[in-house]
Amino acid sequence: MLFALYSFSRVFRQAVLMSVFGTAIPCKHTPTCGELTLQAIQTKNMCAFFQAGKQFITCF
Amino acid sequence: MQWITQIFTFGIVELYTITGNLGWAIIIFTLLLRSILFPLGLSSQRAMQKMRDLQPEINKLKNKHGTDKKAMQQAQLALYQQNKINPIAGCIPQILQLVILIVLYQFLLKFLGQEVSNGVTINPNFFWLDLRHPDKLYVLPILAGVTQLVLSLMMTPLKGEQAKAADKKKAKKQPEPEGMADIAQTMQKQMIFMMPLFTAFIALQFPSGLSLYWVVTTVFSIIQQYYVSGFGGMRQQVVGVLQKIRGETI
Repeated sequence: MLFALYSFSRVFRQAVLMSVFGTAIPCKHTPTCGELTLQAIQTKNMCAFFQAGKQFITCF
Repeated sequence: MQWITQIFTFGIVELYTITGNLGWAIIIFTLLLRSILFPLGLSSQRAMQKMRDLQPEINKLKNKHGTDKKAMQQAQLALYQQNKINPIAGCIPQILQLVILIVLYQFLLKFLGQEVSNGVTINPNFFWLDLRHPDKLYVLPILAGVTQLVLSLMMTPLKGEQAKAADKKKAKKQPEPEGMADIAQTMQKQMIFMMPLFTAFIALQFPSGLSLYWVVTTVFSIIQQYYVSGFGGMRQQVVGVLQKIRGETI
């Protein structure tokens, strides 16, 4: 359920940005911060959560 | 964000004074905005196209490295460098895009609610439309939905013969429980048809000035998409749907 919600929000965001700006710039990381956060929530793993945060911050 | 709104208001009021018509002002404003964003859009779209072409190789890397995320990232970056792909900069451009999108829509909704802007009285009539209210003839909502559908279909990747054969093989197999990748793929397929419906619904609810902006920007996106990858998977999708219809009726 959580993954379905995550996938929906991701696909929806990309579709909106694509039609408004003509491009939805994809994330360069695999897995993405969102995927890492989702894994952290699903496994209740705090380390994975910090890893997602670290990846997000280093993006800036 | 106030300064962005002020720039937008100044631009659209100036265009209104030149053209004498709010509809044309919105159209020219949209085209100008999209032309400014065109170089960024084009380069990232080309990068996306290349990344899409490399997807089979990325899947191979995923299988090879399994749960070793660090090795996977390094291998992926090496693959991008080999193919001269610059995946730009993570999520920063996307966050920026989202901020601009929110500001732009807030500005348009606020602007269309005013009768006088920057000391200029705005006439909201454009052909049969009152740009401050939703289109009563449903022309703009239909146009918004149709253009969105065309864009969504054009964005679907072109399937090669190998991919088609793999799909057929998969379909013949016993149905398996849906994995995460399957859910994401199904969602993407559903979005092709859900997004046009959503766009048409939004166009029905909001002022037609906003719908006009949406239609023009989507048409611009279609032209840009055609420039990058032609009709993409649109032909295959249309042919597939027609074949399904014929198959069902025979």
